[in-house]
Amino acid sequence: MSGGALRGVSAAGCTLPAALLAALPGLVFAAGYDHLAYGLGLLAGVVLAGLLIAPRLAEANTPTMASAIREKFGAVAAALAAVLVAIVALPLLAADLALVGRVSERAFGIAPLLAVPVMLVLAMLIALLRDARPLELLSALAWLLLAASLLVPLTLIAFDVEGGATVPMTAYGLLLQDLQGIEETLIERGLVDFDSFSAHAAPFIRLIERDVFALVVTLALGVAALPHLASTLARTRDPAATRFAGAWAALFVMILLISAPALAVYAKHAIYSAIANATPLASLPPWLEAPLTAGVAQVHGTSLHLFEEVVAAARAGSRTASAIADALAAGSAGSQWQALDPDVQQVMFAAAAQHIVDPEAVSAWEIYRGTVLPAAAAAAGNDGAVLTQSGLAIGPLGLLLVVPGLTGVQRAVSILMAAAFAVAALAVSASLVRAVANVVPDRSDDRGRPFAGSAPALAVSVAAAGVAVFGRIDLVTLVVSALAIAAAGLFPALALGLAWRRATAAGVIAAMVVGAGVTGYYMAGTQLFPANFYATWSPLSNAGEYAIEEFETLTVEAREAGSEAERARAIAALDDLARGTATRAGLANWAGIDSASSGIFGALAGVLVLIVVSLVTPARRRYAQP
Amino acid sequence: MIEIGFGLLLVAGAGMILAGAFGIVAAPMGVDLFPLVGAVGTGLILAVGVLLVAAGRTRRAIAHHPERRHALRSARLTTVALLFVAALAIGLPLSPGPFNLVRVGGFPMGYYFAAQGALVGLVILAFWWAARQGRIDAEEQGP
Repeated sequence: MSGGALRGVSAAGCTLPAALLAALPGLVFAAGYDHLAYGLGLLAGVVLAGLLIAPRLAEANTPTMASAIREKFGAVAAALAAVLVAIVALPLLAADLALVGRVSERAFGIAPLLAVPVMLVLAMLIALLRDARPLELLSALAWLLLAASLLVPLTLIAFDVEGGATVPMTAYGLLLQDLQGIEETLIERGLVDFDSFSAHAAPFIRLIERDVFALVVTLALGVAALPHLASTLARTRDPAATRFAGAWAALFVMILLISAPALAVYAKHAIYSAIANATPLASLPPWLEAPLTAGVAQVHGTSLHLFEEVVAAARAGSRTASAIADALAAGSAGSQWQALDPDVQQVMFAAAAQHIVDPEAVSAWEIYRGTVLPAAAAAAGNDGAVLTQSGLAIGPLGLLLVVPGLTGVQRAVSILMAAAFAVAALAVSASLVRAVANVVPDRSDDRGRPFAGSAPALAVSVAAAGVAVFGRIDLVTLVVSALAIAAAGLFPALALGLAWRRATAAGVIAAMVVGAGVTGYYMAGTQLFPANFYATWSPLSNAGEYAIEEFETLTVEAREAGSEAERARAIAALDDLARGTATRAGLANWAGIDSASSGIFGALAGVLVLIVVSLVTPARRRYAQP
Repeated sequence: MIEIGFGLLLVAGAGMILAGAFGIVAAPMGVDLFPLVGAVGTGLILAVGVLLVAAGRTRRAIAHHPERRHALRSARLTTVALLFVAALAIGLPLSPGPFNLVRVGGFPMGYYFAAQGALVGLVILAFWWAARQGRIDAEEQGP
């Protein structure tokens, strides 16, 4: 039993992609009830892994899913599974390394270009040790740190808000009730912009019901099929111990997952109270400094991060606003600068120039909120220069940075959080590297050698590090896409293929190809060529009348465009309309399912194909003639 | 046998509600029950009926094939556990409406289930399943 608890805690520490866990409070903050689906899906996935997949591995007496598939379905199916494991591991690894890069840059001032390779080497060293013990202990440590980094601030904030020691998990119900009151006040006073605002506890506003369903299923099946989760649970190869390890893992994951929405409500209460109190921008609460410095939050399109970039560019010799634009164009702040009103650019530049002359006189934060923000507010038509709901945009990763400032011991809590997420990302990365290394058949006779799969593991890791350092993809999208591919490609083969005696190699191979193919096509189609996707599948789309009319108008415009430039503009507008934005669904979809939830199509197709192909191909001999 | 009969009755009842709602045949006694029961309620009636039939069939299969007792009991337990996973992770969050009418400790109850209740339920389910399967293994493999 206690061995099960240890294995459960280490499975809990290495399972959840740290990037998604870090974004979870921010996701719940942004969409309230609808994004609770993330937590439900992740936990259901851990339960399913313990229920369906880990026992099969333990029974088959094989440590990894690739070897279980090889044993039952032969080398071709195993090779295909190996490719899928690599495809799933790469984005997950990239997202976790990118998180390490951001955390180290923000908390310890180490550039990602240095931190990511160091982290990768560490992960590979731990992953490729023959002994799994160090990785297990590291994962357990990661869980402990993660739990501390969520529960300590939660307890501190609850102590502050409630005026005494409480159990924050249950106590925040009254706070939520209070938050609903504040939201009503904001709505009555017309202070919210319904493009970006939705009442926290109101269901199915950002996501429609079908989409919540598809998201839960995609995440659950994706997590269940994660290559390292089931093999961590099944390590003892004892079915009874494996089952309890799964239950313990679910318990420990649950503790993390119920803390995230609680943090989101506490932070949202603080932010919305500040908005309801018409806080002047010039005295912006200090707890917004951290996310604004990291550039993961914006007020009227500006951030302290942007201001500091401008200061750096001015110090490096840019003497005019347009020179600043050139200097920033290469970095992440370039497009943010371009989007600003010229007046705001001018104010920012002047403030930066003044700041360089005497950097000690006033801090960048004071200049930013005292000078830059009022100018940005004026340009945005916010005449009172107060904090507004539509003016403040907080990214998914930004909310966690608000939290330390609310606790009263900002420094200690931010260091705890940075350490926790760095260690968690290391544990997840090492587990993923090990999972990729494990897919190549390992001859147990050459004992001294490292894993036979070290080469593919190295290749995947280096590619992931490249994406982590140079890629600009949203981390949540990256993680969820990887889970969708895992749900579509691996889950049918693992859950049904390993359990069903009539499943054949041809069926499993077809299921993996079709499942991953359908989901991959849906994600690529809706994101990369959405207008064509909509044109092909328009009967399946849930687009409204107005959107269809607009699409047709634009299509005609594109066809009858006078010049190449006009045509290109119309085609780009068509793609934007079909793709949709974070707050408005696009036309390119099947039945209104978001591309993040597309694992459900692949998983469904995979299961159907597995059943049909298995039934029309001859049964495997071992079972055909008992 | 009795549960198969009762299950078929429930399935027939759900079918009648649906048939009345979609105007395929006249609603029984001239009352359309669909708005009263709702899609979720009809689905639940249907699901309980199908489950009862499946449970009866499994019981008969176990009686007829004692050599497959262990496998059948394990499969039945896993199926029940999967249904509970689906109910907790999908069913609860998709039907917050009626629960939200009640507040528990300040939480609208539907919100509470999606944020905490269903997750705690999933964990209890995982332990229950592990213990129950252990008991089946012990009973079937003998002392």
